[in-house]
Amino acid sequence: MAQYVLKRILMIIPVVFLVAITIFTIMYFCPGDPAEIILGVGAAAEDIEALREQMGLNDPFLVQLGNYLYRTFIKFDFGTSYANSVPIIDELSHRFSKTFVLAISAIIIEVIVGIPLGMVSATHRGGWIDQLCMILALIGISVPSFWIGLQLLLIFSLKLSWLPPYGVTTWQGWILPIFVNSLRGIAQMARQARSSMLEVIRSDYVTTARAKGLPERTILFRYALPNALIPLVQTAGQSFGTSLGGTVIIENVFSIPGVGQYMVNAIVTRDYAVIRSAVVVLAIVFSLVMLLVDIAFGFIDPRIKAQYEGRNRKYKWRKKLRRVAANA
Amino acid sequence: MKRWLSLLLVLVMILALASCGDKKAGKDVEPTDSAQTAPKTSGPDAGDEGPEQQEPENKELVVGISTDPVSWEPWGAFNNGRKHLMHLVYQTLTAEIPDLVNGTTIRYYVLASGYEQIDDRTYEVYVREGIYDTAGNPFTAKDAVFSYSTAKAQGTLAQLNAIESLEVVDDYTFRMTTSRTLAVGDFEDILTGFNMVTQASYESSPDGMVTTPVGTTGYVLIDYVAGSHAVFEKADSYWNNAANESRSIEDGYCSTWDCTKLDKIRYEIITDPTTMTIALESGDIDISANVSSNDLQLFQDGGKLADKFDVFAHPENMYGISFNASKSSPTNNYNLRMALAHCVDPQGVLDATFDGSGIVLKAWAYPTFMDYQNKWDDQPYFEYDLDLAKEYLQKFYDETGTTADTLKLRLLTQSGPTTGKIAEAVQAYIVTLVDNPTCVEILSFDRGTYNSMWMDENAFDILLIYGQTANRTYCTYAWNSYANAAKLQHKNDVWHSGDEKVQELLNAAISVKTHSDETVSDFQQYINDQAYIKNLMCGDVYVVGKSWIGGLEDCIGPKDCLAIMALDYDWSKSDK
Repeated sequence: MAQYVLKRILMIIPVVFLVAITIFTIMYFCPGDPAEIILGVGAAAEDIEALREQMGLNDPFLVQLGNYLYRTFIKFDFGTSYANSVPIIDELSHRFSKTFVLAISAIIIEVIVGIPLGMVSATHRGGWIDQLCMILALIGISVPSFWIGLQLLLIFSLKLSWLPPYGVTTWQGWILPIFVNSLRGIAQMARQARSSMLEVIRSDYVTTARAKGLPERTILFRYALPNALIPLVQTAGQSFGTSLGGTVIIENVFSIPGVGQYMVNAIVTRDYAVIRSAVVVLAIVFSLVMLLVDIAFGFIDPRIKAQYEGRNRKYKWRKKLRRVAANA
Repeated sequence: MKRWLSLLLVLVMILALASCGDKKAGKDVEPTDSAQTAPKTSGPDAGDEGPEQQEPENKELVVGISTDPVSWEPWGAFNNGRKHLMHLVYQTLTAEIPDLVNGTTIRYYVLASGYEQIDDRTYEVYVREGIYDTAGNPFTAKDAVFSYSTAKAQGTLAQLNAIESLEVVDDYTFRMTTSRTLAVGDFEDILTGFNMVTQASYESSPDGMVTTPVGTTGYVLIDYVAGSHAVFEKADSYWNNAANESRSIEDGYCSTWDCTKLDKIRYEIITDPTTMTIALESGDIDISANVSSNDLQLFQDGGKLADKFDVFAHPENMYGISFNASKSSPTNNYNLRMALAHCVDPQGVLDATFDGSGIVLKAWAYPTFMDYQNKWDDQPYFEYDLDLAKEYLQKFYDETGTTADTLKLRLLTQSGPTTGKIAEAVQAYIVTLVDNPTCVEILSFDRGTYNSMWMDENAFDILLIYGQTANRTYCTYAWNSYANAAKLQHKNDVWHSGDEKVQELLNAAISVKTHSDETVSDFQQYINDQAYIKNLMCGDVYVVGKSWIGGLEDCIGPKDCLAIMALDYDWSKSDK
């Protein structure tokens, strides 16, 4: 199992490295000159040139890439924003906490609400509960989050005055953004949970358990759910990634100073340093989450555990045989 | 099952109707008057209604803005958040206010008491005595020189690159020498567009004032969370308290922006315009200049919230269409340029994009610019005439062998809701002229890409050009920015014309020595004759404030920000 975890951790390194190179290359070849944006329309060509030189934008591509990789991965220095001289790491850490809270809370709600909804739906297949759950899931998937966000703002902030219309300076401010951010995930999780459960509860071993007279609750929670969880863990992991990268709209509607807003502003102002750093940080976090998902697989799915333990046993057995043969 | 489903649908319908109810009411409102040349206010007079109330303890004004300043450093790159907030911390040597009513710009002294041009490249600037910053450090000529030198070394403010040397003459006088003879307005731009700090405060800041700004205004920043809010409080002592007593600029150094009538100001950063409207309506914010034009009818005369709010409108930013006159574009042909210029109706574009609220322009200039020629208002300027446009188009077809089916034009624009609408309106006019629905392709890009693309003669045929009106005092500023081949990176004008006459006339218009009504008129006339550009209009932008805030017409301070510290507040009528 340790070998499995180690292998997965090692795989993160080339992934993050490749992401960094890719985003650097894309930004390098994108049209638009940061020096020109900073100095504004009508700035003299020699002034723009001087600022480009000062910012190191005149160096060859490989020199710039080398400097960037060295600073990011050896010195762990993301540098400062081109546009406002604020250290990127300060801004990212301040903003990332908000985006992370938004994403992680959404995932928790998705799991807590989505899985039971899918289970209920599967166990009442074809009935009105199933249909109601699936209609709600369909609405959750199809309604755009900015629209539902604005409608909830109108109801809970304007009409009822229960919640603040913007910002997350109080705990009440978190309620609507987290709820809206989790809606799509709840719907996806419910649909996935339903189809997984349906597959599992039709299995022979579930039929056998029923035939043996085990209570339905025991069958569901002890035998069916663990097997249905494998694709759900995968869905939750992916959903976290989507939440992390896709909070831009939620952050905009509810005026939350998160990473999404920071990145969008950086893209508009061609703040290369910020875009590259934010993408690398998101890639690292997403890779770590997917690592956790893979580790969770190892615990949930005995086949994966057995595969690695079996491989280890086979390896040890071969080594022993070789030693015996050598002694002989 | 059916019963449950119907119950659910009914619930959804009730919620949707409840939340949409206000907007429906707002839609019954009659549209505002179209084209106007003077700013206007709407809504009731503040304080006419309601019983007498006691003043609240919390006299904090909450302002909604859409962009975060991110950094408080005095000389950082421009962004809209900085535009709104930097004036609460830093002051400049001089300032300018566009006078929308009289159609001019008022220039006045703030930290400076005057300046004098010694020769072509040397200026002496006199600093006012008795100024100190909020940390108590006196501001002298030495500090002004320090501010310019430090900012110039950073290299992020283009206008400072013309400074060759700075010298302190005495405590309140410094001398500035420039590396070249400046164009008209450039020196004033160096004085007006530059924040001043004291050396002592700057050097004691651990991060170059990125997070700990100290300036000479009457306010101090007490709380700031990036992307969320910024709170200012009145400073314990302020060098210019007299500003509150008189707002007359003739008094010397009083302006809307120097007042300190508010004890506490809280800026909330709300990025979504609909959320901004909700926040205004729910009472969470008191005033904002970032309300969506779709929601304005709620606050204007006859709107559902008109009794609680006042609206002030003023035109901002010029929009025009400029043509690529290089050989790589069909608009190289004079007749096609004339056809396109005559086929677009600026009033129609204004109606389509700003509900008719704004002003139609008659030159590549804005009426409050100091060198604006009033005669332009009475002269014909590419009048909308579809028949005439068709005649020119036919001449173009005859000369080049092009047909309606083969004519393809690329309209380059900056992405954004306003520019997008304008581009679509222009596209519709050209499609009507050519009678080919696919003859115009809109190329919409972010600011960075757009700025690179208009310098490439192969990238576009028509350019939706836009120019700032706030904080600009001369017509020549936009001309110099877009048409000066000696300055621009692609060594050509924005039209890629390679026209030496353009450069000759431009140089005469922008030079301090030769700048006159005649040279300004000559340049404008020449570009009209060549049909290089047709300026269209300025659309109105709005300030929406609670009705207990008086004097919204004084709201537009220097650099087009909200000069809220100068307004009149009837706190007893506030809902706080």
